[in-house]
Amino acid sequence: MTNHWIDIGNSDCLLIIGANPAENHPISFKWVTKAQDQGAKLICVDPRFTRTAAKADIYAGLRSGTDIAFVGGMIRFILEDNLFHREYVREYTNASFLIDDRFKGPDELKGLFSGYDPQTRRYDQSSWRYQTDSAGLPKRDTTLSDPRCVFQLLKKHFSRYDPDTVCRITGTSKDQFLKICRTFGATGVPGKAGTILYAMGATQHTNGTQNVRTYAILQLLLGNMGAAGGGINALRGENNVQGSTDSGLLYDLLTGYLKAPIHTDTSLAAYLERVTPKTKDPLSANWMGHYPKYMVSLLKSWYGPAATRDNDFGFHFLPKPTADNYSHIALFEAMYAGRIKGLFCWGQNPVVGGANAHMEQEALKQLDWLVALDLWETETAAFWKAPGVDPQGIKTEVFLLPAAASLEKEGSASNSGRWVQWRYQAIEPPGQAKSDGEIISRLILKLKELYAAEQGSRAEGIQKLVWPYGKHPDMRLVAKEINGFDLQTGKLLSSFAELKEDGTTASGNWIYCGSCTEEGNMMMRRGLDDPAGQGLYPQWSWSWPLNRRILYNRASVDLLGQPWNRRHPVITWDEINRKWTGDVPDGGFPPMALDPQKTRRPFIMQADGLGHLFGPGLRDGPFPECYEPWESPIQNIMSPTQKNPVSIIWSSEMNRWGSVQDYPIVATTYRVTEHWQTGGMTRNLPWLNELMPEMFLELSEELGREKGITSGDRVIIESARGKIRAVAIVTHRFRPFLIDGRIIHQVGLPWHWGYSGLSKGDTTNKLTSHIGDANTTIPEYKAFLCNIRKA
Amino acid sequence: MPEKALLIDITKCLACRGCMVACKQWNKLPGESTRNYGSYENPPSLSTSTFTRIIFQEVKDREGVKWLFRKEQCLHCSQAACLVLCPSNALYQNEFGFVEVHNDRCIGCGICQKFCPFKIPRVDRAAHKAVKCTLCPDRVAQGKHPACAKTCPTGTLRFGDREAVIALAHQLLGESQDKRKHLYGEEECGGLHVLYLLPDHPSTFGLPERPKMPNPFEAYTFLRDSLRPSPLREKILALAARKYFGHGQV
Repeated sequence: MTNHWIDIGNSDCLLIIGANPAENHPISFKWVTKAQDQGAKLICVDPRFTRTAAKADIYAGLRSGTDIAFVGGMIRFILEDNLFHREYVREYTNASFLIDDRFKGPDELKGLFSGYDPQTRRYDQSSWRYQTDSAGLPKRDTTLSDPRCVFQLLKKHFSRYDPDTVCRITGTSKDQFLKICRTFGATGVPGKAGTILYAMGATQHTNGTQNVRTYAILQLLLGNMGAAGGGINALRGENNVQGSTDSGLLYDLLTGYLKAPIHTDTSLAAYLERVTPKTKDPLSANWMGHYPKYMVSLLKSWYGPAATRDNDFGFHFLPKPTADNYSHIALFEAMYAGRIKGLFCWGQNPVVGGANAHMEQEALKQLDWLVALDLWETETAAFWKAPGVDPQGIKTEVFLLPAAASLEKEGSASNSGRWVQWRYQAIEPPGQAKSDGEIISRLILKLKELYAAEQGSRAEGIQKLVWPYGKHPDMRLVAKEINGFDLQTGKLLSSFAELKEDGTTASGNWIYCGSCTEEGNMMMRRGLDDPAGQGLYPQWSWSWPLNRRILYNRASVDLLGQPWNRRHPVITWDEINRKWTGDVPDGGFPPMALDPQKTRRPFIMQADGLGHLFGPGLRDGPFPECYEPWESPIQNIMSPTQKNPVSIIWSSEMNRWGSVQDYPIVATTYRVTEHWQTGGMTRNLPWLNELMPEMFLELSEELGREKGITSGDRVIIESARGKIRAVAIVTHRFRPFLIDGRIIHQVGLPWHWGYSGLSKGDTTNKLTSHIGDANTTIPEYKAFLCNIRKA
Repeated sequence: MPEKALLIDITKCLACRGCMVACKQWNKLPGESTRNYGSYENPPSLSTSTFTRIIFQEVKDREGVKWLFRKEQCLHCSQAACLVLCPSNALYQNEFGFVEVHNDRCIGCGICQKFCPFKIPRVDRAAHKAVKCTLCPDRVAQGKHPACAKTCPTGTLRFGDREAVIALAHQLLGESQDKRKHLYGEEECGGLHVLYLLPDHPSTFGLPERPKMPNPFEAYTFLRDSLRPSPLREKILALAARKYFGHGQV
């Protein structure tokens, strides 16, 4: 989230798209409801009429996987009807920057951007850049009229997304679509704020990252970034999943979103040269220019005295992979091919939750060993004795380590709004269950023992790792390491501004620097003061970075430092005392019109200091373009390029593609309030099983009539990858879509069930595929083709 | 002690059903074994182990579809048919105005279930006892809210002094006339201790527009026809006759 949960209550208009908070984040609705009570409009855009839709002022359906067409159409409407926030767009975004003459967009290149190589399925992105003057600064046209400026290119790109074309693609009623454009577009007036709430419904597509990019463009045009009640707010689906990505759990990241080294990074200097953004622009703070300080401090934190200037601060202890993808799909493909021998499956249940789950289950059989850590014996831990599997034929040795639940251990948990809150242990874990911290600590101590006599950098990485925690780690000490120290004084640091690249500071995660200082563990704070009256609660726990509650908040003010929105100010410039009041400002630089020397542009994390309407850096284009999902019922209407041209296509025999002739129905997957993820924690609770007892399929009355299916019937759902059974819920909440003159049906399937637990059922992910987003490789769980029949 | 009440503002209910789980947890009620019968709604009705549930209703109209959620539970009438008709005087109104069942007096005759205008109580056939929502008087006596209200995330369930709850309901009605149209329970059955704020007519939600006290003759006939012959039957019929008609004979 750029903003935070409580701030949702400050909004004038909420667009919930690709999320279902009423069901999956019910507590958040406290704030949604508060906003509605104060007159905010709630818009819900979803293929299904959900419990969120039931509370919305405006609901619009769309065919799963067509979000870019929908939001692209909103962007066009806002540009054509001049609903955008002109001053904000001119001053705070890259709208005025001129783009290289060689750059061409999908309107000219049949759905592709300039630089595409069909052999490698990649772009040469050298034309996706700004024009620069002799001083190396980007050329601008602040009248926004030059045909090569970002604003005009954006307008041209989205000019094809007219309401008729959009609705032909999405199947949305044009009236509803236009009503949403007008309602959300009204937040472009200075002083109004609209927020976007999204979740996996946006990201789990081959175009997932670009779906979110459309939100960024929309929110920048409307001046909603940085504002109270605005922003782009990802509703994270698990307790502390925000903390896990903050802490480098993803394969391509170290802690604090620092990039993981790759094999071409032959030295620390080479790595820093690759990752550190540079600018000659005096108006840009270019905060990530501090990269070397954060990286060296991280290495000092991990390797302590063994990290010296002479050995690149231990940079070579880090693994530097040669392949560029170690995401979930890639790992399971490698396992299936026999290239991976062992797996730690930590609180994860891929036999139920993994895409193409049957294939992932087969992949587990190729392992020599599997360690499963969970509260229960999940389907993954028990895959060797699954129904229809002969344990005699499984070579994999499986270890099940019972893990402590959240209330049985101490530590921090970071919520979607970046609040890092301390959580105390309430009770001891049962039986032999242990906390993750204890398990990992004992594992590392054992590894250190085993590698003590080994040679080489890989062994050194384990030998030299500083690990003062023993078998029973104290999480309060870990919190101090994450925060970081001044190594000369031994004192805890209070801000990442104190980090140095000379090896005299250490910090385990630069964005958490300030969370646990000499003043105490800030995450334990429970202060209830809200001096600004905007729900910031600055003394309740601690929010990264630097306790800032709303990111990009210097875009919430005009050039004089006064809030666009006087009712909900985030920060305000006090000219008499020459300082900001309110939230912790995003860089304390003075307002842009008051001090042209000292000021810096508000989007300090970008090298140019501006919000990116034109966004180079993603693999699939600087503007979002509408492509069809991997499995789609139609030919792409927007261009002859059918699907995301750069997403990776795996082609094992178990990842078959289904055609619309064989599988004419669009399917999507989701969760319900009553169950949690793969059901390990909920399908073992009778109170929850009573509410949602069985695996089901939702379908429209029309499709039910066509197939002779009525509510309560047993049905079979089949995709090119597999076949499952479920109970039918035939409902008015599902409607067929009129897509380009054809009736297209869509059905919905929850993915909570598996063969273990008190409530058993077929696994929806046997139907989904190994195809992922072009940038993140997140699987396309949300749109695929199937067929259904009465069992 | 002033009378207490629970307000159910239907416009805010998400049907997250946290209230149902909290009720089972506080009252130590078992989860029922259910089947999906083609709906999100479950269990399909109240029972001796389910004192409250959310009723899911799909309404198709010109604008599309509406999905309505109503929490069903004992509404704790001031003029409660169950209390008036119970031949063994097992039902009573406590200090908060809630209707409770005296377990050792209840004989499980089922008249409370049959003549409740909202069809709420259930009879445990094995134990011969009627059971239903109590509004957690054990919690309320300690200054706490009923378990369901405590867990509600959206403010659908608001608990407090009955007068204050009614004032709040009127305030909400006044503020949002486009959303909230009816307050149900201020006068119905002598005043309910569980009131609904409704976005539409009560009948849309399966609530009787004008709940009436039952006819004592019908109640007596029910008892006479449903009780199996036994010495207890005669005693109950005599008690009922005295209670309904003021004398021993019909």
